[in-house]
Amino acid sequence: MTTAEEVRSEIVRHVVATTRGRVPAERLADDTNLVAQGFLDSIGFVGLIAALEEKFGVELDLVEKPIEEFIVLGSLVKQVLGN
Amino acid sequence: MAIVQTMTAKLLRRASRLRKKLLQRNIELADIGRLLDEFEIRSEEMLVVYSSWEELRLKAPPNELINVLKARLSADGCLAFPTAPFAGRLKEYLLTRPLFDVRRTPSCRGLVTEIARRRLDAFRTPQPGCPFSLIGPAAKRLAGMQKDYSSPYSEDSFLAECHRRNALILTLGLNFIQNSGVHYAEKQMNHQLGLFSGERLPYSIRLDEQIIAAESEYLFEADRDWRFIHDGYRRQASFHERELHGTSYSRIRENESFSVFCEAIRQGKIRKTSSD
Repeated sequence: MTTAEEVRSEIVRHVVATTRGRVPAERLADDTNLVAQGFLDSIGFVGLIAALEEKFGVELDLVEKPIEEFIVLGSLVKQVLGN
Repeated sequence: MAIVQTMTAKLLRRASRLRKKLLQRNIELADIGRLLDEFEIRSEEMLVVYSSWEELRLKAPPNELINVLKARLSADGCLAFPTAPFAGRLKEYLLTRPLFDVRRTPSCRGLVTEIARRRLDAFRTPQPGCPFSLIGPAAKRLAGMQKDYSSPYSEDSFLAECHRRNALILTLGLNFIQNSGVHYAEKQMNHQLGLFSGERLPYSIRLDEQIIAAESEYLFEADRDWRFIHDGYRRQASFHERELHGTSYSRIRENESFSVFCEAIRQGKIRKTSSD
């Protein structure tokens, strides 16, 4: 069963890799807004969603749910876990 | 003299960026509605939308923006969003021998396009070089038109249909950066620039459970004289451009956009930049 820590680590790993280390892991907390704080642009954000869906075998409902549920790190973890 | 010109250009660019920053603020869906009225977009047969979510700074969700645009279609209309599966060059993408899953491969053209792709009422065109996600009454029929998968610009392609129907092209928060339009025009002009290499690269398409192996003639990158193209657009009858709170919006008919690209090609304003 996937844990919150596994999802969080994957998000952090992806953001650090996408930004080529410009954003260090320490700056990414549960209340971090990945887009508004400029860590990811919308193309990078879509890439993150696709990566999480593939890794954890989930389908995130970007169409119907508010986008804020996905761009704040802690909320995104919950969405991947299906909460 | 050259130094003065360079410095002036730099200062002007800086002033323009500063002005944009000062003007920028969030916009509402109602602003988009008013803009569409102003652009006389009320009952379109084919509306092709290029967008930048960051530039838009829309307070409403992307899905609601799509609904607002969908409401501006005719009874047999179609809304189209580019949903190409690669961010860099087509050649590099094809060299990975990709499997393009029409249902699942994400769009690399931004958040609005990805939301459009995910909608239950969306149908995606199958050619991976330049796919579009289509929404609206005519979406299913148009998405199923293309059977020649070797080129995004074949006669049965969605882009060819846009040209035949004189689609309306709308940009939200973007200038016109239409690689696809350039390439379509170049193909119609019998490859005058040699943007098509003729080299065939393999890929596969997954259509439901069926997987089709195909090859594509890859395209060179094209370098463009944007000032020329922009001036060309400005001369066209249906070109409208608007700035709202520091964000740019524009619209033009496909056939007029096509003429601008053809003229740019004739005058050597579009060049081939890569020799690989």
